Amino acid sequence: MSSTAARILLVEDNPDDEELTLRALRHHQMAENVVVARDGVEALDFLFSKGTELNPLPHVVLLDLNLPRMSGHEVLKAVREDDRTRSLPVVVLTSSNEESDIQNSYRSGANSYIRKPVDYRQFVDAVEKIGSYWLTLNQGPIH
Amino acid sequence: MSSLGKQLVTKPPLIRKLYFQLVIFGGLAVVTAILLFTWKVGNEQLDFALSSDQMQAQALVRNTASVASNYLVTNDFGALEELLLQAATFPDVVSLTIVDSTGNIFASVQRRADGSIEPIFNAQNLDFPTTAKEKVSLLKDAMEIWTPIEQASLGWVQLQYSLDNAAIVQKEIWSNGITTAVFAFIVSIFTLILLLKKPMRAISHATEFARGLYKNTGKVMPFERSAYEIEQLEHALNYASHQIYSSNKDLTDIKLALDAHAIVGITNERGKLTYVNDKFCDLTGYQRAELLGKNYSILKSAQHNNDFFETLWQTISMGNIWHGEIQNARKDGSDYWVETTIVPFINKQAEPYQYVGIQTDITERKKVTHELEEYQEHLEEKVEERTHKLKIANSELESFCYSISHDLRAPLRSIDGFSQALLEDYSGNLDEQARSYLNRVCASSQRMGELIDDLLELSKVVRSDMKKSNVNLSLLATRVFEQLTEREPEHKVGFSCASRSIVSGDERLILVMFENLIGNAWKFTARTENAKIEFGVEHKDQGDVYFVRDNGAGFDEKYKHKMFEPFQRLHSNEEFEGSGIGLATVQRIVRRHGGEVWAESAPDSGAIIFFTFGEQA
Repeated sequence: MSSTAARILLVEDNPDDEELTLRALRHHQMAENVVVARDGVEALDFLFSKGTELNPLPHVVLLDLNLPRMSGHEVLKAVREDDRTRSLPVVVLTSSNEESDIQNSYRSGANSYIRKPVDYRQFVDAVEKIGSYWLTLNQGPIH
Repeated sequence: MSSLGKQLVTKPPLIRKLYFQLVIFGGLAVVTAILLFTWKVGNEQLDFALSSDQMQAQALVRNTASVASNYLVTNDFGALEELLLQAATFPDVVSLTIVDSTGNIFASVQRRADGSIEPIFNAQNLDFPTTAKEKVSLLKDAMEIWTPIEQASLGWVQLQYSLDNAAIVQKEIWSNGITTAVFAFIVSIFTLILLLKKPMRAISHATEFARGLYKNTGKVMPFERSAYEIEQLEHALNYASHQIYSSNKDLTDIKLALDAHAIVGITNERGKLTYVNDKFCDLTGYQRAELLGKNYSILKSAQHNNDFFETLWQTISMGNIWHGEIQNARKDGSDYWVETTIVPFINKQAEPYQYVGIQTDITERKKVTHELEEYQEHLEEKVEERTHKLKIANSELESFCYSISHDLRAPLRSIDGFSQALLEDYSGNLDEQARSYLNRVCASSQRMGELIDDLLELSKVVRSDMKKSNVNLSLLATRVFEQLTEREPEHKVGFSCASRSIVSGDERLILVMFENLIGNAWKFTARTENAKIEFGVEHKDQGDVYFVRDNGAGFDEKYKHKMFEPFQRLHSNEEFEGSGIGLATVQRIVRRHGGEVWAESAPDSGAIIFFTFGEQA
């Protein structure tokens, strides 16, 4: 993991999706300061070690739902239950468009829910929009 | 037969006694009348005879006293005696005596038993009356008269005068009266016997007839032509006979009908069987003789407890009808079930004197019911088992769909993504054909992604819970049409819509249905001039039939049976795009609402899709 201040935490267990997401971010010059966690436990470990002035939280978390060890839903709940991460912007980025997944995510406090398109060009477009919105347009909480 | 009935039949006839009494009393009445008359006439005649005797005696004694006074003055005793002897020649004179004023007898004559008259010389002194008046007194069978001579200054004449004449008159009258009475008695008895004979015989016949009515066979009593007096009785008896006959016939017929249908058993007030019909014997396996006189409990099985029979007995002994199902045991010990009605017959004292049990054999029914119950229990188990399996299958389907949605799409994205990466990053190293192949890989993976999405939509339609409410079909159809117009404003289509059509259904699913139906119509009219889409309704007897009609490309009716199968397409992708899932989705939505969907068309004359909803709002 990078020691520099991360701007995006990507929680993704599929290396293909990781590579494609990073490629899309690179395409738009947003690949620097991206930290990748490959399951829920790793993601929480990373987040809960942050929160100081020298070690700030990322601007946004891109969270997959279907993860080994600890699912995206559980990660989201844990994040919202902890004072340090309660207001952290979390975008669910997943293949599922199950109604129950969408409902549960918003109930658990997701800030956004985006389904990964199969079409790579659409996917690149989506990632670009997420990046520009959360990293530049959006005014995040003050840590 | 009741004991009262037996009494009526066996009691000796009263007719002979009545006959005898009538005759005797009739005779006695005649005799009494005659004797009373005789007694009255006898007394009158006696009085008359007595007064006549008295007058004669008085005349005689006064005459004697008058004559004797002359002789007494002269003391001529010989003449006195002669006078007395002469006077005593009157046949009824018993004795004649002359005494002086002191009671000394001057002369006395007396009639002897042979009828001759003689003087008495040693006559005793007699008690003469104290007053100087004539005195008449009655002795035992004679009349005694004392007549004073010259105001009793010279003495008295005493006459005893026989009353035999009067007695004879009385005797004769009585003898005549009794003779008449005896004769009249005999005559009246014979007359009465003769007069009463026919009516009595008629009454006797009527009594015999009435006594035989209990075993009435509808016979009519012959009329005694001469016995007009009891004609009314005979009429009444014949009427009663007819009534009893019809009642008896009704009863017999009802009993026949009852015996033909039901198992009938009758017990007395203590529960002892007094009657069983053939069916009763057939069912129980007992001979009739084995049952009669036995208590009904001979048929008791182990099925019911004591409480059951106590309740039953309490009910019927209070005079109430009991109805229920009883399990009894046959002679061979096997069980049978009877549906039973027990009717207590109540006597005048309001106590049951017998119980009539009417039963129907329900053994078979009980068995079937039991089997059915067992089957039902089993069925519930089966349903539970199936439901459980179905739940497992459903949850498997859910997880399968989830994995399709999530897991199948990821590799597709990789295929598409990395092919794209190759095209972008290494296009310099790839010739035209290689780039074309990679483009095909991308296109196919994208298409497969769409198919997976459509498939998921279809499965969602089937799996999702129905949330029913009243849905306005016209409103939804219009909304879908407006959305399409917004999306593709360059495609000009005329739209007509039926007014307000309300059904009960899931609004979200019905919206999906219209998206597919109107979406299809929109798509297939893309190359039609004056394109028209219509949502309408036809009111049929079986219910409302809705339709969506367009004047687009239509389809070949030959393939219309395939239209509603998933991924079946009747047009090439070059003609019209699509995955072939739309009508399959429509069919599933309509069927979930209990309706049906079908299509009509010919190429280039447009298509019309009909659908119904099972439940009208």
